[in-house]
Amino acid sequence: MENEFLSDDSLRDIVKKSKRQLPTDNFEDKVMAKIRHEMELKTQVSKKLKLSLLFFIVGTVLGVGGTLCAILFFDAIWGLSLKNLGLIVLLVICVLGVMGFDNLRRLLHNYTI
Amino acid sequence: MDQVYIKRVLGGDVEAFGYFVRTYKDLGYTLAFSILKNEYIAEEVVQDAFIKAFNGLKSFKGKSKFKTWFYRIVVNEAFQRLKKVKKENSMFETTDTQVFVDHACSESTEAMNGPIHEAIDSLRPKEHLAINLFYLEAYSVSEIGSITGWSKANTKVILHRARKNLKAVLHSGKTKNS
Repeated sequence: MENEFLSDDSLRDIVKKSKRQLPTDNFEDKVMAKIRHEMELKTQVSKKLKLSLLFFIVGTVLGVGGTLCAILFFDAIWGLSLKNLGLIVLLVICVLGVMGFDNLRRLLHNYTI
Repeated sequence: MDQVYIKRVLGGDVEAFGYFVRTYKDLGYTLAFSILKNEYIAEEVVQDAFIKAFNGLKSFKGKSKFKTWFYRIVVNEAFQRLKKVKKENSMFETTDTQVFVDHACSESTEAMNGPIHEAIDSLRPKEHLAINLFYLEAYSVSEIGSITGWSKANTKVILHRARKNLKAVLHSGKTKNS
């Protein structure tokens, strides 16, 4: 029974009195400065990621093209049959290409403003 | 109003985010403090929450109000930090609720509403949070549940305990004074 001395309204008033205010005056400036810094960082990372995507595509195209050319124009290198070797290399390029492209796509998504 | 600023921020106006910081900093801080009971850590948590909110604004679907979404981020961040602080403090064998009450740095506010702050700060983090959401923001039980991730029944139990404990603390303070 001893706890019944306070009504819900008076509890509300008491809790409202306990509302806190941030002790630092420049809180907004600090947060906005951090956000601006993050934006700058994101822009830089985004540029570099786009460049790396370009090189990645160029590398993949040249890798596949080179392998196909090697299969077409040569029969063997250092005594190894290029037809089987070429197929293995193409398979590896495809697997690595898909994985790499997916990682780059996710990174780009995270760093696009 | 929030929607207008959300559109502006998503349209590339970074400075428009300042509106959210100005509007929700104090209540975000009050909620973080109710969980952490330390001014410095609570301020850090609110700062991190604002940055998370800015970064995640694209994923904000507008199903709930911005402030509900933001408070959810604050609460999650604060509980994560509480876990971390508890882990760090466990080696000093400190107890659950006494650890984080930051008496030294809250002198200014203590002077204003000393006994009230003391009574409310003595509540457990979950109880303190529930009381704040219920009385300060007038959230319903289900809304508190959606912010904190607690079930409706659990929220009711926490809220009931919080009221009971707060009344008991205030009553004991009153009898001490008289």
